Amino acid sequence: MSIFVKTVYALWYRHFSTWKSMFWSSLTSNVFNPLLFLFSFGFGMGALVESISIDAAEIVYLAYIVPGMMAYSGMFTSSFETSISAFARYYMQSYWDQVLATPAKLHHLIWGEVSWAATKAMFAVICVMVVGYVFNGLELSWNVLWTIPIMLLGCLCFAACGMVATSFATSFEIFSYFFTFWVTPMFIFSGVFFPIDRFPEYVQWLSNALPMTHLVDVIRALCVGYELTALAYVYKLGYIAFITALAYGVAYRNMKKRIFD
Amino acid sequence: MAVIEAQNIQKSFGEFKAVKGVDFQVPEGTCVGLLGPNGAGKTTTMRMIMGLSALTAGSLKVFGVPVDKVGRSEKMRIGLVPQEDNLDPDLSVRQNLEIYGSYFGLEKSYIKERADSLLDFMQLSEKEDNRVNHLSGGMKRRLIIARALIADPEFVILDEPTTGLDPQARVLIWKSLLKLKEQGKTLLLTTHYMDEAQRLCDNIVIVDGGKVLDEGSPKELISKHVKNNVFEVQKPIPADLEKSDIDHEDIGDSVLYYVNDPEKVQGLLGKNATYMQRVSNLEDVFLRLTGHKLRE
Ligand SMILES: Nc1ncnc2c1ncn2[C@@H]1O[C@H](COP(=O)(O)OP(=O)(O)O)[C@@H](O)[C@H]1O
Ligand SMILES: [Mg+2]
Repeated sequence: MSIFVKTVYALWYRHFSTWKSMFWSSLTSNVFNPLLFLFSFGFGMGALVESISIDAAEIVYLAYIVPGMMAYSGMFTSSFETSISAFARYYMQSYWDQVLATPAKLHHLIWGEVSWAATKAMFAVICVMVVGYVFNGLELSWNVLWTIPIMLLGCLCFAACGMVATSFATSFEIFSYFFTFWVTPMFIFSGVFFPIDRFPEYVQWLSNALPMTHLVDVIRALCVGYELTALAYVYKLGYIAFITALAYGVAYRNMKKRIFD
Repeated sequence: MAVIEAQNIQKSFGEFKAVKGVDFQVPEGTCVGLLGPNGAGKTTTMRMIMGLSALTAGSLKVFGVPVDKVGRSEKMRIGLVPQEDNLDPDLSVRQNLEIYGSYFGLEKSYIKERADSLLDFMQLSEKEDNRVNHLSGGMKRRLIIARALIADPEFVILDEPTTGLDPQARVLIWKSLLKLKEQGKTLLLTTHYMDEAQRLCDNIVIVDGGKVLDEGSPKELISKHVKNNVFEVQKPIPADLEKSDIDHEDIGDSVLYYVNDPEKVQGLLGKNATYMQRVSNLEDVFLRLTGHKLRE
């Protein structure tokens, strides 16, 4: 195993071993979260809209929101982990100083945070999928299997973006901006609960700039089986990968400057 | 070969110069003490050695390698005991050692072996499953030292290893550090406890305000700056003594006289002087060099 993989794994494992001791509470919240959403939307929105049409196909509302919730819970969990949780480790627990005194380097450290955040988020995503399946909101198919690596890419992307927030943060208050101007818009404007074409055009521009919109679109296409062109897949996934790389680069540069200056 | 060679190293934080050109060496197999009051720049110097803080100017070599080129192979040979307790609060005592060891890329079986022997060495075996929040200050410190030793480093940096501990806890740590010395490890220690420096260090570098004031073995420093004996004489000073050319320092209410031959002062004290005589020690050197004023 290369030193890089070995070191990132060691850092990942540190987070995993603290999480293990909280497994049951984590499982409970990850299952109840989508249950509460389904309950509320099933009775609320579902009573108003029974189905939604995409490209002339009618999709039952429940099947429409399960992929949205998959993307949302992945986005929220990974964003939270590399922002507030990682910042607590960096700022309050001197965890970063501790690690950087060993042969581990800043790249390892950030990859450790990001890969762990994505792992934890994937756990949440899979909980949503199980809940969705149990309540007939998700039909199993080979396409659905593809959502797993794609969700992983998405979670890595949001984790890297959370890391950018952490690299700028000087106190916990800063994260209220991160949630208000980044996480919440991705909840509202990215088509999690209804199609973005209901927004005025300038809002759609904003929507399309958010990586979440493309993730939701791809995951939904795979889950409910509507068609996206190959080009659309390449463009959407490429955009997510691009944002990931960009965020990682910005977070790395900021952190480097901040820690070693 | 010197493990550390620092030449004119400097560090500024914005306009503020924390380290203003420091030279010192840490020869292999010795214990060097960096002694200075709070804010002298000791921690900053250690952080520069560890590569946790970039140099503003100067040259710093670690195992002969310029500090900005220091890589994995050098880092494997250094253990750091930081000033603040940065143990992992989410992990147990044993996990704090084993998981830290994994950051070095060491084999699992080797880490386990090391953790066993270090828990024993630092007398923490009984606490191995406790969360670190439940440890006393002395135990935390011992665990941090054990953690620094996990990869069996040749060179150990200790930033105020015993500050804030009770005497028993300090003695226990000193004993383990002396054992490390016996094993031939190189140590760099910061402290503001003179007894600690005198006991452990072969060579002492006294720093203040980001500069080196003097350096040498404890003995050399004492005989150079404060002779063998100190007389602390209360004011008013007897006229004969005041007129004499004996090396002295006014510290407010009283004056300190430094002499090799005690009789020289005794003859000048007269009948009514209030004074205290004692053998001089490193503390006198330190106070003489860094001044008697209170620090931050
Ligand atoms: N990151 C920093 N930013 C600004 N000033 C700092 C920083 N770190 C240390 N200093 C200042 O540099 C001086 C030396 O600090 P330090 O090396 O911690 O001293 P010591 O360890 O000898 O007590 C102090 O005045 C301290 O306030
Ligand atoms: Mg210090």
